[in-house]
Amino acid sequence: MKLRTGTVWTVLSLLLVLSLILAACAPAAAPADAGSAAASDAEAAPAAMAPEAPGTADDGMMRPSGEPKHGGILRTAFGVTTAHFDIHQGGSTSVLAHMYNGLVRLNLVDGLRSVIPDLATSWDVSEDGLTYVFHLREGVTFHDGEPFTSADVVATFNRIMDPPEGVVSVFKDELVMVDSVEAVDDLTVQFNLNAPRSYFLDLLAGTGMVIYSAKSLAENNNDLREVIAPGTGAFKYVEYQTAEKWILERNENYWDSELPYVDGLELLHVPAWSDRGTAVLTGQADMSWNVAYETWVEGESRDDVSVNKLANFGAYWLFYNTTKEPLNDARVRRAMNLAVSRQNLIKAFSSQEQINLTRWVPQGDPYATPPEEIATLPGYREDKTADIEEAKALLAEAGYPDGFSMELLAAAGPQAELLAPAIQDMLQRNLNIQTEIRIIERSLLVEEQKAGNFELVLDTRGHGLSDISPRANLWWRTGGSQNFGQYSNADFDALLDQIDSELDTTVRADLIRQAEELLDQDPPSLLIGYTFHLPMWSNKSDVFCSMRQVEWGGFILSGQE
Amino acid sequence: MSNLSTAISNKNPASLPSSEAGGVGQRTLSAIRRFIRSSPVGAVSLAIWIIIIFMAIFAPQIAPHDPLEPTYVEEGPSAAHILGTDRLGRDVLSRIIFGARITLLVAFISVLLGDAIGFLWGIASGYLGERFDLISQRLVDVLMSFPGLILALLLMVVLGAGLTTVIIAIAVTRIPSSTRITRSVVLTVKETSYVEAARMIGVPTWAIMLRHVAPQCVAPILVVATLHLGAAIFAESALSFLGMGIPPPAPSWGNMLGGVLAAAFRPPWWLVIFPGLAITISIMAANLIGDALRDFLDPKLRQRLD
Amino acid sequence: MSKYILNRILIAIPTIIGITMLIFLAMRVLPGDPLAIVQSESTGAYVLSDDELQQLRASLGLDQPYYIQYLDWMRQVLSGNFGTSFWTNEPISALIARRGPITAQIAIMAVILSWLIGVPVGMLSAMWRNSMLDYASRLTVTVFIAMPSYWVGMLIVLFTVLVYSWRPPLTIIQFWDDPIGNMQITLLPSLALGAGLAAVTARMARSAALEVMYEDYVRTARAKGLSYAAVVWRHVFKNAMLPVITTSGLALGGLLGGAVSVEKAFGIPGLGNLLVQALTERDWMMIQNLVLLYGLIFAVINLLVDLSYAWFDPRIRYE
Repeated sequence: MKLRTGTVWTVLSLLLVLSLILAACAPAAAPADAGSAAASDAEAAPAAMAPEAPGTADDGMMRPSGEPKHGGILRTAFGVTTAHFDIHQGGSTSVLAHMYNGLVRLNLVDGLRSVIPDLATSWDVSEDGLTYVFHLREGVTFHDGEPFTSADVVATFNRIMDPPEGVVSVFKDELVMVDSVEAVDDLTVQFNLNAPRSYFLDLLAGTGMVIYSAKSLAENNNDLREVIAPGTGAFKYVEYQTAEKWILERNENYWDSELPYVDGLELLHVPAWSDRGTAVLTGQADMSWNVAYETWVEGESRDDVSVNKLANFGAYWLFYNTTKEPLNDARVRRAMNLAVSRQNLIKAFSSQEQINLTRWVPQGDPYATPPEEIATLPGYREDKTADIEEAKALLAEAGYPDGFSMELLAAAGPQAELLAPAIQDMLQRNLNIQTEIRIIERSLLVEEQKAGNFELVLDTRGHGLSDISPRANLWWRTGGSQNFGQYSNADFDALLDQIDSELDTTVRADLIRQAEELLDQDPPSLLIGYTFHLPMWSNKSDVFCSMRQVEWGGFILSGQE
Repeated sequence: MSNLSTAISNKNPASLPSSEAGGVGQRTLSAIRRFIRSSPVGAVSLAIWIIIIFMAIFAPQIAPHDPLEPTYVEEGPSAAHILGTDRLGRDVLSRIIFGARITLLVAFISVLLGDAIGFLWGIASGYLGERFDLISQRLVDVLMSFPGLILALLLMVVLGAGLTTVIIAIAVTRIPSSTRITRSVVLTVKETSYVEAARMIGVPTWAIMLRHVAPQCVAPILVVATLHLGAAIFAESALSFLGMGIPPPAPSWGNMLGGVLAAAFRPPWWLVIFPGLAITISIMAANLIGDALRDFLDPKLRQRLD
Repeated sequence: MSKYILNRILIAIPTIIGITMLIFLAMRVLPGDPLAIVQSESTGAYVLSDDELQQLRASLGLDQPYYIQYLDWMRQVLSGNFGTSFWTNEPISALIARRGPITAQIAIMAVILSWLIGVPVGMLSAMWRNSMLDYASRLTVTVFIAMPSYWVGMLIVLFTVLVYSWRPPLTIIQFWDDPIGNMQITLLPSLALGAGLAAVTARMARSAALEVMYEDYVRTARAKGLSYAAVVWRHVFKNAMLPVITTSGLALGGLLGGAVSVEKAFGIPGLGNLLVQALTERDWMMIQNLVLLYGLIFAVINLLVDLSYAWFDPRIRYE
């Protein structure tokens, strides 16, 4: 179950991890220092992850600064199993994305803040935000030699938006605002939207929005689960040793002839989280995207290993089932949010993961509430005295001055061992709310939530896009498809309609502020916090130091994450 | 030292229990006295078990801290926390003391349950013979065809984690061996002249089984049960260690060990050593009591049990 | 003898069928429906609609009656098809082929280690009966029998990490690819697993040796003027080994179970860790076939042990 948590988390945030490489490699000297410097930077303002401009990204041709060397195999330690090979049906992007490109991607050079070209070299957006025209890169071929054209883009998005029978399209809901995708000519594609979305380009820059060839879709009856379809990416598939490793080699014909720098990747399968850090510490792997905190601490103290700390779009939550008494009362939910110390929960989980204090919009998103401000807000602040007083008053007002008892559902493993008992203890101590912890296997947790078989449930949930709109529609809108707690607030829904289609950033910032305020007053869940991403890499030898430069290029192209 | 050696080598002549003394209480008392004299090591082990039982019963009075109260600071042994604190900052000593409750509960009830079923089943199977025996023995074969821990794991995933289910799963894994052993005793008892005589004069089958056969099987099953006690403690600890047994936050010696090595590159030694010691000591004491009891009750049993 | 073997094998058949039925039934009453969701990185978990669920069930044959599902499973297993993991789609037979050798190697090495340690200790203990050596060895034996093997493993890991900052390799290295790397993975776990068995072996070897030492033919040999060492080697050692070897066979099956927790303690990518992972994730096809594999191996080992008893002790054959 570790594996599953790990995969979900880390993939969500591979984006951010990449900047570790920026942070670490850009100043070629003193790599060990670069790591810790970057970590403290990340603490202050996790979004500003690249301390200096680590390179350039003209026309999407990203280049590291300094003198990158070619050659070498990079070994990574991570969970690399995948249910199947079809990304659009839920195949794991952490493995597969190295072989593909999207239309656009996020810029690693500015810390993933802007969208830059990938397979599209440029684009035009209509004034009303309803039409996007993409001009595609010339001379790109798939790994099987097939030329890349607009037909591939149309076929790819048509399958996502309107999946044929038997195809489970996991991105369908994210693209509901797209009416149609049409080919204007061989190298031009037009997206027609039914409502404007300020984050539309970010959506297309997501790791999963890769382009498959029309040919492979046709040949495989639109189902790529059993085949590794040829991509346009920097790396080509060589071999997959079941549950052990993936071997990828560089694509000699990659459209950016400078990249990738490494000759190949070995993605080692290391399922247990803690073992990933151990793999780097013991030299069995060159890097890991995200390691357990205690191995990270060990890495920080060592000269042969560098570490970094980055913000992430995965979080730990306590979800309320608002259909159950007394959780249908907003006062009760707010009281519970006030009475539980996030600082204590962060400490409780510190052997596993670094959780940071977060409000409803995570750090890293332009609309996030600054951390210094969050630390002063009721419910979020360190000093609990006033919060507990208020919580008790709210509970009394709601008719439960002596507390109540209910069940707390949690996934087996560290969540049930560390977070659940801490929550149980604080609810009982501060509000006399008795909870009985029910533990089930992680793989069954979502099913229980879907069936509404819970009162309180402790779970991880993350998202690929930092913008609040997509997830708010799934999680908090009345009737949202992942709104398992049946949360419903008409004011919030109305606010969300405005946030969804507002294109002006200042107005939108204000609306999002209001939404956060509202969610604090009438919470659908207790947000324990978003996690930090804890990458670690070895700098044992000169060879590897240069390889890190190489890998930098390699990974820029492989995962547009 | 020589006392220990006699206990282990089983070479001392064991005295059989007899009913010379008067009342039941007196008889038990004298039996215990003879047991202590026959095996001082067994007596010491018994004393250890009495201490563990005492610890379990008076856990709230003995434990220095609330075993569930987190302080959110993990630290090594100190004056405030003699055996250190765990990852949530809970007192390890208090958790071990409260853990004894779960360990004993699981061990006693599962052994009682499993061996009682095995006992009755073994008597029926051995005495009734024929088709019932055949089917029973094939069933026992099937249950015996899994390594005990694997069978318990399978049962746990089917029944779901929890105290009751751990007890049931462990009880089931005790059944096959106690059935086999009881049956083998019954097969010899069945041929004795007084059982045949009872059959001749028309005593009903159930009455023969209960009055004449069962008492002969009590001694061996008692020894088996003591030895099973250690096995049950091991099974519970292993299941909980694998995360398939007693669910947190309740402290069990096994679940205190689970995840400790994985959580850190340099695991806190006190979280590995102390719960493991508790498990080892209690299993060792149970084994030694079993050995001593076996010699005490019937030295001939030894061959059958090995 | 051949009649006995045939008879014993015939008895094994219903047992094996019983094993398959027990596992099958257990899997059908398993709570929860892992099919209801598809994990996806971008959207967290994607919940299938009822229609999609229905399709998926049909494609896996789960809409068939139980007896047809059972027969299908049997047919698949007999044709060597173990299916694929539900979560990762990996072929289970490939997983077993990669990880099985590691687990088997650990179990077999544990048995060999238990002989190498247990038999000499037991023999020496018997030869110098009631000496300090004897007492010390018997005390050690008592302690090691009680120590859970996974805890022994944890202590070993704790020691190597705290003292040498060393942890065993995490990847699978087969013996034939890299014997040294392979030993780094397997040696310490087999030591942890074999420690308890070595203690049992020592105890058994001691008592077997003691029994033989007072047999007439040993006394005669001594009387004939053979040296003590020669007598021990020629008569006592051989006789002491017999029960040790046959019991080791039985123990091998138990070790397979014990290996699960030892693998967990060391983080060895063996069959046991695979099973635990499958159990926690409710990967039912994997559970079903892995438990079957354990059951079959155990049943075969039991059969071989019975046959070897009969081979060594002819009286059994005529029972």
